Amino acid sequence: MSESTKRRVVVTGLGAVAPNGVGVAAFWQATLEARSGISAITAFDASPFDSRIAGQVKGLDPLAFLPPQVARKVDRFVHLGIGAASEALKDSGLDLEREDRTRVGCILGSGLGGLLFHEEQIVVGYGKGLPRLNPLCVSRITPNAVASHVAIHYGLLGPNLVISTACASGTHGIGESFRKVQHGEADVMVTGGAEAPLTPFNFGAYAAMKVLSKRNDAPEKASRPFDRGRDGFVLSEGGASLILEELDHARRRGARVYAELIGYSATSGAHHMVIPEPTGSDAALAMRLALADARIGPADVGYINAHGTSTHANDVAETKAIKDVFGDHARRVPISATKSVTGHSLGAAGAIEAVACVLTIDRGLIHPTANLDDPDPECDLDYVPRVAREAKVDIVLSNSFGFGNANACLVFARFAP
Amino acid sequence: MADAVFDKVEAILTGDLHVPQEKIRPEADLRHDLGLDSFAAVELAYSLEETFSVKVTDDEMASVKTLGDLLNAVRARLAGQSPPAQ
Repeated sequence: MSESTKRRVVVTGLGAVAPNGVGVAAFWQATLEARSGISAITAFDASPFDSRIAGQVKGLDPLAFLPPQVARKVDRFVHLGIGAASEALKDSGLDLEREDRTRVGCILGSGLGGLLFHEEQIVVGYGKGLPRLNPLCVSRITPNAVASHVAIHYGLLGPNLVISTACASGTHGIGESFRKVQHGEADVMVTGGAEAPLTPFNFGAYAAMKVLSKRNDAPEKASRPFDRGRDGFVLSEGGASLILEELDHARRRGARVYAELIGYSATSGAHHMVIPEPTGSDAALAMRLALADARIGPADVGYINAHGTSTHANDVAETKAIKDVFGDHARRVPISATKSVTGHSLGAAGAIEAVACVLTIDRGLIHPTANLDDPDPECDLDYVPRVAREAKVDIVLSNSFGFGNANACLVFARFAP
Repeated sequence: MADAVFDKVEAILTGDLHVPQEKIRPEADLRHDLGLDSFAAVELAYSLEETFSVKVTDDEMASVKTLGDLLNAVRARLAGQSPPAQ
């Protein structure tokens, strides 16, 4: 498709269900204040594990946005996803009754799907017998349940997908939604990500990889991207949603425009399922391609939202990649890691971070990297330590680098008619 | 009509299957009056098996039309006319 026929895509609604705040306003205020959502695990008995902390979403009432007969028959990741989508749709002011809903779709990211019910049913199946499995098994476990339930609840008849690329799922979901609108396959996309990984078996699986922080005595200080004292990432749950809309469609209904989405890329490191490619060349390529897609240069970028997981491997490789792409500008551009306050919500992370990126442009505030007290000598850029910063930012880059070396980047810009 | 079997079936219908209480009458047609679609019927059979520790066959579920038929089938099964599920 030629550049001249690509349609412009704007962000007209936001929703966030994060460990440090339910609702966009609560999440953003906590994030600006470097308030962590990490705490001791209460969702299950974590005592067998060395790591016993997580980012748990508190106070989400599924009955606030789903009828009880649905709310009771879906897994938690669907609650998180629809919680965020419902806020974003309301925020957008879209009147779906007046829309051609064949032109409204939903692409979300989720790395894992409905794990909780899956684990419960494994116990049932191998305990009471496999013929005793619940008939809801398939519909509760399948990762595309979250996008399907958004479509069922709102009657969205356009493209409906769930993308599963581990820690980059949400970013890929937003990027692929961007393409659907850009290329004319939809006018409006409900996009973002949802993840509910805080289940005993799954938590044990991450613990077995020895990648989780063991800072159990100070959970709020455990996620510390780029800090010398980091000891792994913190597993979290969450959901976030953006409404992407074709510009003329948004104009016709007088929608509030937060920002424009102008660039997206997807690459692979083709290196290892868990370890980032150590030179960061694949991450650098992802950033370059996103900037090229946006038709901007590195010096145009006013803020980078880092993948910043709080692991040595990621933080160092990502820093190298940023230096490679941005050259001298790497030392001038502010960078921060939302995961310092949310932990790592896998398939939701990129979506939560996209919300933060849009708000950075909209509010003129860069949120800090919490807990960055003593930077790793190999991480020597401006990561906006501990305190938010006022700044007029016109263009932001959001990085997501998933397990399996699945990379995705997004570029958002201040909207200029 | 009201007995322990009725109470338990009613709890399944008004609970997991979200059938409004006022619709629950013995003559109610499961599909047309109670609004149970084909998948809800599968869920109902599963819940009956879990609640009463009986086996409900696909043919039985297909032949049952009303709530009264269903209650009679469960009562017959509990009375030992067919072997219980393990």
